[in-house]
Amino acid sequence: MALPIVLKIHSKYYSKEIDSYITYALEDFLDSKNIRRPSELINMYANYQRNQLVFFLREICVESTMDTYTEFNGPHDVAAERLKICRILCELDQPNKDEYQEEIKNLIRQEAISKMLVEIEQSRIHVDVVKLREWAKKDLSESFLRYLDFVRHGIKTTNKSLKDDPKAKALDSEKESLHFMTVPENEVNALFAQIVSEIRDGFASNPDFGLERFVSTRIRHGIIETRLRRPLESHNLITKREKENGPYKSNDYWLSRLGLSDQIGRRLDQAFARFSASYDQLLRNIKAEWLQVRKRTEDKGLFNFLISEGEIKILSDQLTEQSTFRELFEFVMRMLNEKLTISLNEIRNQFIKSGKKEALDLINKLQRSILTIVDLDTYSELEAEINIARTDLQSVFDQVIQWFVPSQTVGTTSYDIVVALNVAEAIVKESSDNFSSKINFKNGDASIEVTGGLPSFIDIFVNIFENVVKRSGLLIPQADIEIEAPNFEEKAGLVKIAVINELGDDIDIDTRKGDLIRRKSLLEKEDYKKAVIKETGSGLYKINRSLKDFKIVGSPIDPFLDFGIEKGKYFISIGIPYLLIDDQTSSNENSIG
Amino acid sequence: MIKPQAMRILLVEDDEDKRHQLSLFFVDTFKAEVVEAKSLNSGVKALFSSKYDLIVLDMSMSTFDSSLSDKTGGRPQPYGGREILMQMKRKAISTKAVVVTQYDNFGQNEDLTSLYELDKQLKLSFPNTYIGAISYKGDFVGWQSRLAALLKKENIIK
Repeated sequence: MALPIVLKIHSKYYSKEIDSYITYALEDFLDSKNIRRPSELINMYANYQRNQLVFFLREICVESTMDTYTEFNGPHDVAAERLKICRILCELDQPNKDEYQEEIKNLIRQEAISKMLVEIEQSRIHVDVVKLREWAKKDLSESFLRYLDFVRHGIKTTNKSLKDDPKAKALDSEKESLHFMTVPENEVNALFAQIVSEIRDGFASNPDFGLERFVSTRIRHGIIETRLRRPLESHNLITKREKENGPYKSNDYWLSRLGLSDQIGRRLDQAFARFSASYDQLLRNIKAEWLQVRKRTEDKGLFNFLISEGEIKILSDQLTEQSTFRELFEFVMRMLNEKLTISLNEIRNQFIKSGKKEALDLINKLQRSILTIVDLDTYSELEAEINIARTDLQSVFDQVIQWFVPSQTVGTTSYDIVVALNVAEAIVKESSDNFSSKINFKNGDASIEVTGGLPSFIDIFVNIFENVVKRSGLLIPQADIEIEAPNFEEKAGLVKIAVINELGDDIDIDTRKGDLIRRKSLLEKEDYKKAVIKETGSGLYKINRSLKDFKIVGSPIDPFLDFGIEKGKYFISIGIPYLLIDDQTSSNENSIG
Repeated sequence: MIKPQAMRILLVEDDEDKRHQLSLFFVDTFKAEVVEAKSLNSGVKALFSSKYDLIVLDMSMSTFDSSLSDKTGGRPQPYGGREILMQMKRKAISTKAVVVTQYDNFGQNEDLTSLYELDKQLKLSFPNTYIGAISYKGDFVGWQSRLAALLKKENIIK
């Protein structure tokens, strides 16, 4: 143990040049004891002086030393080991227990955030099947019963006019005459096809529970553009338009950094503008041509839910006179889920073979273009940034490709509200790293755990935080979050969360107030369903829609949304209903079900 | 007649496009078998798990392969290639190694080093394994002939 300790002291007080040797010394020491990880030393404590052991665990067995030791498979593996070490240190080094407990708290929080981020990434493609089933049963059961009537009377597959069928005439005269009068040729097949199409339409594009809602909110509404632009923005290779359809802003960063003549500066700026325009066109194509739902032949989009007559026939052949609506629903769902899987595969392939390739071609074209404009010395300054951006761009495309998988089951995950707010902040910080939030509990600290609805919760707060970034007019956007936890004396109630932010000097408050009043009116009239699918706007409609996911069946209390400007600050308040599910919990830890 | 074994190359490179271009070059030109690693961690693991005829290293890379749960791959390692050379020295692995990099400078602030300086330092520190550095420009293929010439000079290829 002496060698890693000596090397660490050298690093701490003299020079970091030989820091790699600390890891090697750690590895050799553990090897000599036939153990793989520092936490396994727990059985050998008696062999070492306590202060040596504490120094070794505290100062040497840290993430930045352990992460280059090949025993570990990733940052989470390293963090898990450091967590074990901190718990050991709490026992061994009692005077510094508070410090280790603080580190433990941070490690656990980071792991929870990391785990939640993965769940969110994997839940972008989603259909609320529970709500779809409820709606379909309510709206389509009757049609299905009519269809079964036709089947029972043996007129399912006939193409003949009913007038010519004597058998039909001989049956129950009242019902038959009704069928005779109202059923033209192929009405039966058309009825069945209609039922299947309506289930398909609900699955694919219902604004409350269909795929379109979630693809719009979780991918198309700014998120995919932000993610795919980020590597280029970080290295100042792309600018934005001055206004919608207007020219691109000048690349002031590089023009001032490189100190070029007017003529060369103009040519370079034009190269950046052409690149920005081409790249944004690629992103527009991705959204408009790939990430749309296709239900009719003339529609665009790779979410392909076209249903052929043959498929309708196959479905109808699986049913009998005794079939229930539930069985029909399950058959149709199986077919739609297969189509979804095929579509997701197709989208991933498009990103790999076309999207990523085109993005790289564009950045290579920019690089070639710059080489013809500036001298070699100037070029080498830009080259390094372009190379890093190119590597990062590939990585970001790989991340986005991972979104297009069937949603994992996250409906019943329990999560702490504060951790979930941290996750939403982390997501927004990916594209706006100067954003921050501060959380306060209005009535004393409390740990509030929510069960279910994590993706919708994150949707709400990502939307709210992004609004702060995009619409506050602040150079350093900050959101103050106030959580009002109820005292949980009542079995049902609300957890209220308010997000408040300052407004920049350039914001016309009166105009903004007017706009907010108009939006509130639309929300009250529920006249916003189309806005949920659109990608522009403040996302208030989407927030309102996501909030409805927290309605608890059987609870008299509904979620609420309020927003406006007060005392020069913008606020948005939401209320999430709770229903106590365990009366034995402590006063400060409660579950919201 | 015994068929000569294909040359085995370990390629440690985190940039997917560059990794693909290099791999294609070695397979097409030398009919080599290329084992790919995307980070310092997976590079060192691959290094210790098998024998190779040549090690091809990027200089800057991430600590770990990126994954869904960690998009960045942990800490960046601006001298990751040098770290792998150190591991080779530590474990007495004498395979020849070449650095192929897109960058002309590495590190930051006081730690900033040019490729030229880094090449000199690596030749001093690893005289038995390190054979040189090649500047890679993805869009231009001059790097291929320079890399082939270096490997020929070192008798790694005929």
